[in-house]
Amino acid sequence: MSERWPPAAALEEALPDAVEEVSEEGPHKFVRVRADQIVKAARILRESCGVDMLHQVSGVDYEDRFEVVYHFARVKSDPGFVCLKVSVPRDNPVVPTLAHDWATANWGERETWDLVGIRFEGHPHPYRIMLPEDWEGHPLRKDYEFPTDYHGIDCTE
Amino acid sequence: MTDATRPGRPAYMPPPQRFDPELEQTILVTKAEWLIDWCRKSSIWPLGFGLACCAIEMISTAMTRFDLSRFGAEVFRATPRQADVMIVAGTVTHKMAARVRRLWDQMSSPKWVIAMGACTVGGGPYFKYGYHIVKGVDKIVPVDIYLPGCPPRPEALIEAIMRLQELMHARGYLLNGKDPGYTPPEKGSRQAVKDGLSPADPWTTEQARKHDDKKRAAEEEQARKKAEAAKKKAEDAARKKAAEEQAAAEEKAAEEKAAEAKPAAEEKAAPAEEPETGKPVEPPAEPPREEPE
Repeated sequence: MSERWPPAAALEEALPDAVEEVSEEGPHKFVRVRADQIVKAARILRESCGVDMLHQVSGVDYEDRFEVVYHFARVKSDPGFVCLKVSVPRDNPVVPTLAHDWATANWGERETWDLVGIRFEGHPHPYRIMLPEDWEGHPLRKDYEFPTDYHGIDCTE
Repeated sequence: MTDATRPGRPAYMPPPQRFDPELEQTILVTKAEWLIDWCRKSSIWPLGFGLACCAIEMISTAMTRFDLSRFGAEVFRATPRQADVMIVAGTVTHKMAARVRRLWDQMSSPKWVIAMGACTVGGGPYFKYGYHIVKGVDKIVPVDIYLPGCPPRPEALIEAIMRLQELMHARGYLLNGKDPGYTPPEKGSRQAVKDGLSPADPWTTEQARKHDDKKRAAEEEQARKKAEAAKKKAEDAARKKAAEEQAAAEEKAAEEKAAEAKPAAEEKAAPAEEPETGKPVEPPAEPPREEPE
């Protein structure tokens, strides 16, 4: 390998303990970092790799764990994507929030909480964004049980 | 009542009455009810209310190319208080359901509802098995016209409006827009599946089974608790009864003892009273009859 992928190299240099996995194979490269270091990692990306936008925050249910996937983008010069992943245990899915550094994380994290049920610690408004406030459960979890009745409306048909 | 010229459709115009041909040029004789219905159906004011892609077709219908105003229904109102007809155009989610119902509640009677598009008719081709979809707007509000399609063409919406106009006439002013034969759609289509009236859907069946299992478990739990409570009550009652019986038996025993002691005392006193009832009193002997001489 002639050259490292710059974001991975930068993260490994700055946070050697936090980087759990680096995948430089294929078109979709990513760096997996420790959950408690995600804020620092995102800051390093911004400072050293010119990343200036958080495209999306999404949650994945792998049955044995949850994953939060962040897609950062560099739009001003040399456009490109950087993907960060974070694994959290299923029984206590908590990740520090990025909403204070990246404004787009606010709604993305609320959506992830709404649909997958991953909590973001320190979020300024940690409530459901799309489903009704009194909804029970997080529908994109693999073990989600469909409601049979919502406010007297039969859902089993 | 059906129109002879158009079989199967309700008549919305009274049969023409023949008068003097000259008079007919200037005078229309009809019922006030018919006139009111005619005014009403000729100036439908729909509610400008779109939820999804069907709304684009609804807007298109109202614009110049399809020109809904030809049928007197072009005045889309921005408030339910001025509207006659709610065209539910688009997917109804559970979050929106309460709002849809409120809008319908705010419309003044008589009012009508057109369910436009597959989503409002029965949940839709894409989202029916979604967790957030109301499977048919008729679960929230009574629907007069079902208009299938995904989305329906503007011509189809115009057809729906024309059918609604017929309906307005068929039901009439005095019935306050209500069809006497109209009953709201049954909620229990699960019952329909059970009765074999509609084909079983695997997803539906699964959900229904889960629902029933939960319900049965709850019922069994309740029955078990009830039985336990009843058993406890019965045991308590039995214990109480046993105690009472014992007390009663003791009392009886004491009474018997007392009674045994009493007869003995009475027997001693008894012989003194005996003689009075001793021998039967013999009737006095009749004096022998004297033979007549």
